[in-house]
Amino acid sequence: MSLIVLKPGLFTTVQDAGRIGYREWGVPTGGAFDQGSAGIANAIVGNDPDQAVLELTLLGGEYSAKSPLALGIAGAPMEARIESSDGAVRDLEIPSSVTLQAGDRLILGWAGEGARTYLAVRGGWRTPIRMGSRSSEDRLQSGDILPAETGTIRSRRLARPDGRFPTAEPFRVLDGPDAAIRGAWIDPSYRVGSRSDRMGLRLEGEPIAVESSVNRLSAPVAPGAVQVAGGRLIVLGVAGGTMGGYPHIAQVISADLDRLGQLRPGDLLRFRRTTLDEARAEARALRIARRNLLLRIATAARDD
Amino acid sequence: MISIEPLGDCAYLAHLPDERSAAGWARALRRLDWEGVTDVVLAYRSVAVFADPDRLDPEVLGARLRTIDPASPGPIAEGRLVEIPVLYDGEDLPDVADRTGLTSDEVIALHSGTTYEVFAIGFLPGFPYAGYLPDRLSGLARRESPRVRVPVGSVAIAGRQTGIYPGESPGGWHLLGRTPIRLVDLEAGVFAIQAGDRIRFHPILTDEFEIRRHDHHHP
Repeated sequence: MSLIVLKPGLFTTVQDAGRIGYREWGVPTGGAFDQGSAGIANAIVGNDPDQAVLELTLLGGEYSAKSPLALGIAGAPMEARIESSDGAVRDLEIPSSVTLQAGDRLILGWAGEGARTYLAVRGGWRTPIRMGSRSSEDRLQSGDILPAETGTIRSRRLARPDGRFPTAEPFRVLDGPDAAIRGAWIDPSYRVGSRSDRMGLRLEGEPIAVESSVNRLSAPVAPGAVQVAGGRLIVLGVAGGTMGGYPHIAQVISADLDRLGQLRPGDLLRFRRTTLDEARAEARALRIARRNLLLRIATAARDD
Repeated sequence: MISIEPLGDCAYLAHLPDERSAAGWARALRRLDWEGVTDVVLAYRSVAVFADPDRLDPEVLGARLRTIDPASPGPIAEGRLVEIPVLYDGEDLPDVADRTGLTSDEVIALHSGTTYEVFAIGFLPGFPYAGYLPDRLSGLARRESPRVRVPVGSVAIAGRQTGIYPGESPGGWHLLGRTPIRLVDLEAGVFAIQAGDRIRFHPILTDEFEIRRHDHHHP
């Protein structure tokens, strides 16, 4: 009936599709940084894509079950294994489904590539709902207990979705409201700084000269906003503020937002300017492809 | 003049000539209550409009936004007026008086004698940025070292603006007092003040502060 957090990993939170409709009150959408992977973890256990999952960052942590739980795991491939109370050890591949038996320990190590892994349970994690969402920025602590339905699922390994973490691919951007001051920022590559989190990715690279008016009024921003602060680029994450005062030079297209959530400190990234038509076509194509993929996975899970 | 530009591929950002017309445009849009529009975010002279692309084609949204009359007159020309009771016992009140060359009573009279427009909500959920302050209260830069913990309900000023800290948080504005009103209820998703509203502070005494602090009604 619940999962016990033995070790919470580096930064583990409960996430879902996010809080829709509260931006005007200064409440960011939040939700899983990589919605696509969270959706796959859910589909593996037959859930709808918006059920609450655990978002594990770089290092997963250790968990145990009080009663059998039907789990699905997807996203960044981490070292993963289950240790039973009798000493038996089973390695897990990601993405996959598995039943965590009462007394078993689920041990999730470092992510080999990508940054965020998603752990779903059939029926979703039943943490409290606030403003229509279970998304929370509070990191899990040792001893936390996550309520969930008891369940079992056949162990199955899924094919890794193609091209999930091509961080070498440029992130496509549209001009932002302050694009006029862009200068030559788009060509160089940048490195993801260590102080990057769900609020934003801080990029390291050649400083960018930007004429910023001291009188610039704050304006609404959205995840994927590329801002210049003190000559450095910040790309806003899903938990970033709803308005910003820094020059907003570009906006990552929605089809590339999930990939932002898989960037690790030290990763190189580049940008490429695209057109509104291409961005919308990509967004449509991604929505359709995702719907079909999730339907296929969830149907297979329910047939088990 | 209104300019509307895409904010990424499924949202728009409208720029208006001033704060008042931006607030009016946001109110007009909210009243239309279009299916698929998830968020209308007003901040100063701009308004962001977010939509769920599964329910509303972004191109259709863009075309429709251009049909909104920026000068819609009538009942939506002004926002609600929200009264905020304040116990003016802020830690920075003597310092603000000193730096503005006023007495504490004059600071209180000026601060509570003005009706403010709420330009934006942000930085923290439910924190209203309102203004503009009377000239004689304007121009104080933020504190050099922000407070680690500003008490819940603190009413504060910085530059030309006044704001209210909806919860305990760090903060660099100058504290004039505290309101007993609960501005946000994050559990219920209830917020007392919306961008585009007007607010007016009225001074109260300790007794009233204590009584009102314990009833959890919103203004």
